[in-house]
Amino acid sequence: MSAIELTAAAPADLEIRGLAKRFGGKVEVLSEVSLAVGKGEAVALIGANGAGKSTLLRSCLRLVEPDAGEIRMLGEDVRALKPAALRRLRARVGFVFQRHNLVPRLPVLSNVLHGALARSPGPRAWFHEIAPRALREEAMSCLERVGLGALATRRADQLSGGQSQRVAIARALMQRPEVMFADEPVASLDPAAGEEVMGCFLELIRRERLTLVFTTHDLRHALDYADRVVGLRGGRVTIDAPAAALDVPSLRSFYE
Amino acid sequence: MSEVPSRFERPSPLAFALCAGAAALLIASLQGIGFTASGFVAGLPNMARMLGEMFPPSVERTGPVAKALLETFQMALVGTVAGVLASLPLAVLATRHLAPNAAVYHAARALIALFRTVPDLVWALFFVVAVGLGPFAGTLAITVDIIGFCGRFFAEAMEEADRGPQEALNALGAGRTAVIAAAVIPAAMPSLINASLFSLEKATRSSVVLGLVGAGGIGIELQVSMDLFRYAEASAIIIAVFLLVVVVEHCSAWLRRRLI
Repeated sequence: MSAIELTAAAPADLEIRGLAKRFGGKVEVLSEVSLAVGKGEAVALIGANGAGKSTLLRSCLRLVEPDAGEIRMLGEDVRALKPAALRRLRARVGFVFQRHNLVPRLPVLSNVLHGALARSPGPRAWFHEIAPRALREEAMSCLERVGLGALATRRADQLSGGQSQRVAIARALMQRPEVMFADEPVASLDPAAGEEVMGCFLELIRRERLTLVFTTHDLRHALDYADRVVGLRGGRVTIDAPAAALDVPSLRSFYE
Repeated sequence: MSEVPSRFERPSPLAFALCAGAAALLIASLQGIGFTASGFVAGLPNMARMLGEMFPPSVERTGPVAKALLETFQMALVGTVAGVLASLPLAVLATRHLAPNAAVYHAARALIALFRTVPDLVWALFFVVAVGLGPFAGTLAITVDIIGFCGRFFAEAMEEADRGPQEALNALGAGRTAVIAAAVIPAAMPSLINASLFSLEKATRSSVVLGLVGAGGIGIELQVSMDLFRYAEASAIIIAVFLLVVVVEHCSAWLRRRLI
């Protein structure tokens, strides 16, 4: 039996215990991190650069291999998963990166379609030109949900920063995710575009009732959009409190 | 005021010895190839006579020359397409982060290095023995040569491709083949197109000389004309080759502008 026991009263989509990661065997990035995120809960991860926020998110999908600790997500013991099972789990978790990470030379619709790569065997979800009708229609609907239906055939490298991030969100929606991760999703955008994208993103998350973990440097975003704020300092959790119990000045002091 | 530094630094004894060694090697090489200024000067009248006989170029054998020229281009085209197609999977295996393991990576790199370092004329000799005289042997030689060239360039392009989209597709559960097809190859596409078109130009030039060893193409026509001292015919062939290469280079430049 796993060392992590889920409590029946509050089923957690993500439960982390004693997670540790060192880079190059020396630099300690995460140390004894424990955290639980309930189903449908929105958690903001805050902390200075290098505090371990991105590494924590990446570790949950084993994009970075942790050195120690346990991660249980959507009922799976993440660290014990074989490659095929790990891919199936990753398919259930949307991940929006700081830099949208779209394939630049491909049309927007193909980029959205990539969200179905894990569940579509063969080349069906590689390019929209060869995709089955049902997949193309689903991709189009995801694109319309982020308000960019008109740009389906435009090349991804011809989009603005805000549009690119919306397409990345549509790609994550195409996964039909149960959990959504976002790593500073609007940090590379100007303030107006950032507000617009964040508003669209959170609206979709609420409508789909997805579990959300996002990292941010914007304390206002953390307080407005999250149910709970978790602060990391030097790779350790030093704040874990409901957003309603916190305010910007108290969080700002956390950075000092 | 500080002393003005000398214009040149005195070379170290090691640097001096290396320079002297290099100069000695060059002099020994000149002797080795039998280079004499008098021999070169004595050859000038022969060159002038030959050039005189080359003009005007003969148009008597236009038909056979045109046929050989077409065959030359066909060899280049088929050899390039086959080489480019074979290079793609080999290049994936020769890309460090895409190869399944280190042994496969090193084996693929070694194979590409072998194909690249052995000259195409040597491959042509090999294939003439293997499949007989004619354009098929030449096409195989071009294919192998292009794999050596494109394999390396494709692998470098894939290694340099932005890792962000690849990480994103990995994060959403895509398998290795899907990541390569949907993220790596589209990102590397400008370099792939560039290397492929350059390969066609290179193959066109190679296919001209492969005929000299009986591997098809216009080279054999040129050799026969030179051997029979029919310099006017030879000049017609050289002009035809020049035109073919120029046309291929222009078409490839146009395609490059359209596709990239």
